[in-house]
Amino acid sequence: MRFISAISAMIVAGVLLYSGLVHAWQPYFFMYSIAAYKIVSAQLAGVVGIFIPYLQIVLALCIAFRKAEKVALWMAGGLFATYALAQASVLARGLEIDCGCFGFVASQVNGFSIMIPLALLMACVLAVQRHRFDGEPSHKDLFHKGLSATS
Amino acid sequence: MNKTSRVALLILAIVALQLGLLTLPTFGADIENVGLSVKEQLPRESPNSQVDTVGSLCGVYAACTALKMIGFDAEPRDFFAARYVGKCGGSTPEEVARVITAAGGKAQIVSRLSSFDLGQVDCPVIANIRSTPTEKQFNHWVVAIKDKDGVIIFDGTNQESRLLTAEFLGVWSGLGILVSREGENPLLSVWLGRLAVLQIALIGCGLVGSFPSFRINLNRLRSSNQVLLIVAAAALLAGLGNAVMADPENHLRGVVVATSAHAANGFRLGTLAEAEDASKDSSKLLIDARRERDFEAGSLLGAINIPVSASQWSIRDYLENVGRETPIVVFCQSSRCGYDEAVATNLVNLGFQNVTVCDEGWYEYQMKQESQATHGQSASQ
Repeated sequence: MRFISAISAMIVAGVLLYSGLVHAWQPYFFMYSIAAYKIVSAQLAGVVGIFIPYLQIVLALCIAFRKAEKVALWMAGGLFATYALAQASVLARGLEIDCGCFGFVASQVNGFSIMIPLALLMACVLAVQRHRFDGEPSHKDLFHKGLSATS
Repeated sequence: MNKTSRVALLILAIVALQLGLLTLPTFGADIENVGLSVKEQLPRESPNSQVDTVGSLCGVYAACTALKMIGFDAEPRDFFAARYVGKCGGSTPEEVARVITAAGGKAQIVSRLSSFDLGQVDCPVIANIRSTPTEKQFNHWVVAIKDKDGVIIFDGTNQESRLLTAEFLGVWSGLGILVSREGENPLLSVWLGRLAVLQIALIGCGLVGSFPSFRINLNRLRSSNQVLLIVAAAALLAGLGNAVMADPENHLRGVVVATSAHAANGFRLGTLAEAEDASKDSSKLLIDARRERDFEAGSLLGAINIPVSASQWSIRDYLENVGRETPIVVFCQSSRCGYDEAVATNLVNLGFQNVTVCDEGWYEYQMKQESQATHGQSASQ
């Protein structure tokens, strides 16, 4: 379980870093994608579009280097949940727009595109479990402990 | 893990990150996004003003324009062949590059370029863009040259126009074809520019990290403080990053102009009576979408002419001082001419919120006038 949690954390960090870098590289692209969702005003989309990619980068670094990891994972989970809800509202309103998920790749919002943030949300929940095992000894520790007890 | 191996790992990570960022522009193209419109249709005079002059030949026109800029003599007519325009939707990046190499130039197809990269290259770049901000596909080729005031666009046979960097980046896929002479390598300046930015960023981080007061053990802070620090770090990075990657000088104007296209809710259908009302009301704008010669032959009183062939950028410049809330009524020749809808789409894309398209046009207006005159005559007799 510890291994699965660690892998989940790395996947979340990798996706956040890639998505953040791609969006930061082409800032207005993400901004317009947010505006197309018609959830926030055009002006607010401008602010959110600038900030979110860099938040994703910082969260990715926190998770990768295990600094404030738990908080970063919860924040990342919140981001993914927001993305999923936003895409669900787009489907409910019958809009045909790009999801804006990974910058340059224009992929339309559909059932599959919603699964991506939901899967990442699940990965965040799994990765948070990693902290439960932090205090516990690993299999290696238990093996060494067993050896010392027998000797 | 001891300290030495941690430092070694960190250096490895930094090198990997740098290599990753440097090679972010990847050779080749994301074919599924490029050049091919969803609707495969025969080349024809489209009501869409952006492709009006060149249609599916925009790639050939852009290639020839770029070639002329670097001193080659290339005529679009010589490349109107299936080898260069494979589908009715337009040319693929490879086909546009084929035009350039056939004329003796050198073409490098690069994807994931940024505004910063565009500023680094000193050669024409053929950019793959959306024909309008709300278009789903990147279906148009233009030549783009960045200067200190924005991006100069050469669009087919249209005159050059200037866009804010923010506007251009909103419609650009990041895919560009760098056009140069044999022996030149414009991509080198892209890599050098990126390398310089990365080194400055790393040196900056190193300097900040060397101050003892900045060495905070994040894991020991309370959760609320951790959230605050993460948000503050992101805000600081966003400020610094956008100063390099975005268009800080024109940022607000660019964001409002371009994002309002998505915020607008399209146009509505109106009646001829509304057009006649608008002609008498100075607070409303009446637009005749027919061609110049038809407008000159006669139009509704008070109407201004924005012909269907006008590009979105020229409409933007023309109506620069008109408020986005102004009621606008657009009409054309008759009920089914379609020009009014094309111009109205461009107006909505430019952020005009209150656009009405007439269900009838100049023809019906004239019929109405004639019948009224006939009725008047018969009544007087």
